[in-house]
Amino acid sequence: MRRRAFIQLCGATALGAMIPGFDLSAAEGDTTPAPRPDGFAWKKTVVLLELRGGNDGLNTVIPYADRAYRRLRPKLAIPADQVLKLDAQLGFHPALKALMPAWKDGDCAAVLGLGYEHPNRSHFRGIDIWNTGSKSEELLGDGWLARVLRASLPGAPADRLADGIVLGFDKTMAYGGFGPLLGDGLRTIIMNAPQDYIQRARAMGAQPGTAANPALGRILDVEHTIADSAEAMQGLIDHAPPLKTVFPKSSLGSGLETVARLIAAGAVVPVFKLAIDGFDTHADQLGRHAALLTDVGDSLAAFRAALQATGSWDRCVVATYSEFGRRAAENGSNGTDHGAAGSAFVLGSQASGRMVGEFPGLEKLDDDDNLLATSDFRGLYSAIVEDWLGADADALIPDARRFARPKILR
Amino acid sequence: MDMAAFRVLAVLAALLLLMTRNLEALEIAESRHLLARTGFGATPAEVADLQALTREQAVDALLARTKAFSRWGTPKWCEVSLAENAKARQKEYDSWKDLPQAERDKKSQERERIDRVRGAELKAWWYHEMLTTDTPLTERMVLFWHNHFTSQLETVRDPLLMHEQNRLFRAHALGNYADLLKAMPLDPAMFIYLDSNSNVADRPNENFAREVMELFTVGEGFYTEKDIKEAARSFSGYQFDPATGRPVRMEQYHDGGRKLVLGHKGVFDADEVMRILLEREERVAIHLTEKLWQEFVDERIDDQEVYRLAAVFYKAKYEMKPLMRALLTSDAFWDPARRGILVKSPVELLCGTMRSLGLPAEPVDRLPAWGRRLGQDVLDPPNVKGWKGGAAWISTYGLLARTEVLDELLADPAKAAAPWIVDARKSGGEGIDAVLRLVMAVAPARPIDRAKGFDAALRQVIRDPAYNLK
Repeated sequence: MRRRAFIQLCGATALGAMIPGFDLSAAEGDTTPAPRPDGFAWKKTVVLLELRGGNDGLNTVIPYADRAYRRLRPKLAIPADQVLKLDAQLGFHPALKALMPAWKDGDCAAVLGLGYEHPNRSHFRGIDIWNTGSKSEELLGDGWLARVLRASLPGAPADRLADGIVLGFDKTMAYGGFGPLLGDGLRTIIMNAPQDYIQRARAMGAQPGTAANPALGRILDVEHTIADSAEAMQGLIDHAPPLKTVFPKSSLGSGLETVARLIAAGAVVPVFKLAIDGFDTHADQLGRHAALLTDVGDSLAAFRAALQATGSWDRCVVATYSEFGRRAAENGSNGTDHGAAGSAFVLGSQASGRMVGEFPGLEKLDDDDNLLATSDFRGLYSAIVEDWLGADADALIPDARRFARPKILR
Repeated sequence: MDMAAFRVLAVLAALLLLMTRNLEALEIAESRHLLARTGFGATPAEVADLQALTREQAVDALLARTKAFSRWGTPKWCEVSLAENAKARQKEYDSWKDLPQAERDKKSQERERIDRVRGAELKAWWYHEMLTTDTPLTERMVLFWHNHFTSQLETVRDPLLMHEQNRLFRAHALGNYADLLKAMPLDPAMFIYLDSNSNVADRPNENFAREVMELFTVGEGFYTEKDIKEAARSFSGYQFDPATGRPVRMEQYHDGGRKLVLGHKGVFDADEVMRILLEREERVAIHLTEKLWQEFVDERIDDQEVYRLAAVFYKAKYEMKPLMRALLTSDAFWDPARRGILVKSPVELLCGTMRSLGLPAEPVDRLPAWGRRLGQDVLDPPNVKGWKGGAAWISTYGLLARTEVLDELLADPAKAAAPWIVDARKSGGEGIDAVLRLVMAVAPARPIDRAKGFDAALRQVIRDPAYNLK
């Protein structure tokens, strides 16, 4: 029931009367459970790659054999003979060809029909939902991995470099570039590249201190995080063999190169987060989307090669995500509008190596003509938390019990 | 009563009056608190100005001083009307039509270059306003509205339209929120930013309607996707009119059917939806008050206080001054435990430092660039939600950038040449105490070393973690 209290009261003098229970703080109140006895796998790493803007899942994992696909997308459909076929129905966008060796080796899983109930089509709300792991109408203050990490902190190794590292600075950082790592009490680093970070941290020169004022206390904490992690990073890099793999020159390429370098150097960092922007393809999608997917495919392929070459591929799982998929039908500007369900990739030596979940199909769409979700993204998160990181998803991800875990790992 | 006794009584009464007055008059720490929270730092002149006043008087003085227009003329190219601008642009684009592709690309690149230069000039102009204004509260409110009704120059492209929007925010800075909200569907920059041109009856575009609900009025969690669709239908049918340079309603594109928005039924258009939100949805007043509370008082919301203030706002029919007066005279605002618990935004950090220390503003285009490095690119917020602000400014990235920018700002401390700084410098290292009293909301986190002289101490103060607080 919607409140009408002060509107009804207006005119009366009792406006000061308080209305109890006005729920303004739904965002707070996460519970922090005890860590599982078998423990959080601090030596493993999740690399999250955000495809920012809403990736067109339908032109990423493509139902090339479906006539409805061509009907909905007279201009944007990828010709069947160009699709990298995975089976008789589905295939990758040709720009992802660099990922095919990983697929053939069974190091890649494609999660199909990923979404959630009552999909939101706002970029900002959409990415909030994916970053916090919330229900559609629920506002959570913390990132889903921040909750997982915080619950596991009691067993954290003291020599860890950070709880999470966000690679690359962009404007959204000011608003919440922490993404799934947003939350207090964690050692989270945002940086462009290690050398730059180390140099700047030294120039800043932190000194120990504490404060009763919570805002000041927070600043001092962040200062120490900067100083400690910079020195630890230097130590790691000093002893790391240089990578021989050549990465794409893109910002994603160099970001993943940094991640590979740190992982190969033995850095204990359970979460890395990167983003590639530009997926909001309302107009002239074909070329733009192909260029973006080429960058994603080439960069991830280089990342895999680098970790394989340094013997650290077994420690790592990569997962992609995006705030929403795009409308099934193309629009009038050779583009696609905000949609709902999409697809994701999981890469790793222990990836299940197949398509996971059910492709939603194009015969039945939702009320807004979007792909229907066949699996909830929180099931994917739960699988990462349980099967890879070894933590308890039920206590950390809302409704986790309700969702089947996609078989992303062997 | 004899004369002597009368005199004694009169003197006593006068003393009593004086004492009460003294008791209520602002302490320096209180004046600087009010100034730093509502403006950009504090200067001794600003503090002196408030000295004999009570809290209420001081707040009233700040509110009375606010303006609805800018102090300085805008760049020359802002002097054309929207209509002239629209016509000139149309003519320019038309003149490219028959050119070969390569020529056309060249023309369009040249246009982009000019717009980029002008956009940079506009950002510098706004900083100049903020640096020199005699009513910092006005500028803070213009910035508040820019972060509430966000548009990005990067998307809008035409700097004149961003200037027009900035003028609108000035006109309503401490005017009436309802008027400002109702002006939004017709604001050209907002119109472009939220794709309203493509919101037509048979193909509604929900962008503007979504942001009206999510950001401008009731706020997240108080509407459904269905409400957005219905509101979008109500907002449909505006098209860009080249004759006026503004959106105009075209009946053939407007959905004239019945709508159901937040439980209200009717044949709504844009004005009607706004009216219903403003008159019938108390969340609107609460949402706005929450945001102002977080901007000026405390990041943690006190539900009861916000509710009390929201009722003031609603009763005042969304006039800003009564709300701001109630907010700034509230016990919470003056609570000593709440001093120095808010984090300065990059704009406050930059403008506050320059204003209070008297650093030279030239070249003024350094300021937008610094702001961008600190995560606050004015006229180009990160997305429609604007800057999250508050504690979110302090991250590993943000803190490093702050230290670096402040170092650059004070690379030559001798350039800090405000008269009171020049005076304080004469006392050497000990002179820093005057600076501490004025620029710090709370004591520095680290001891300030006075032995190496005033300028070294000044640099230490500005670099102290507590300097980030207001």
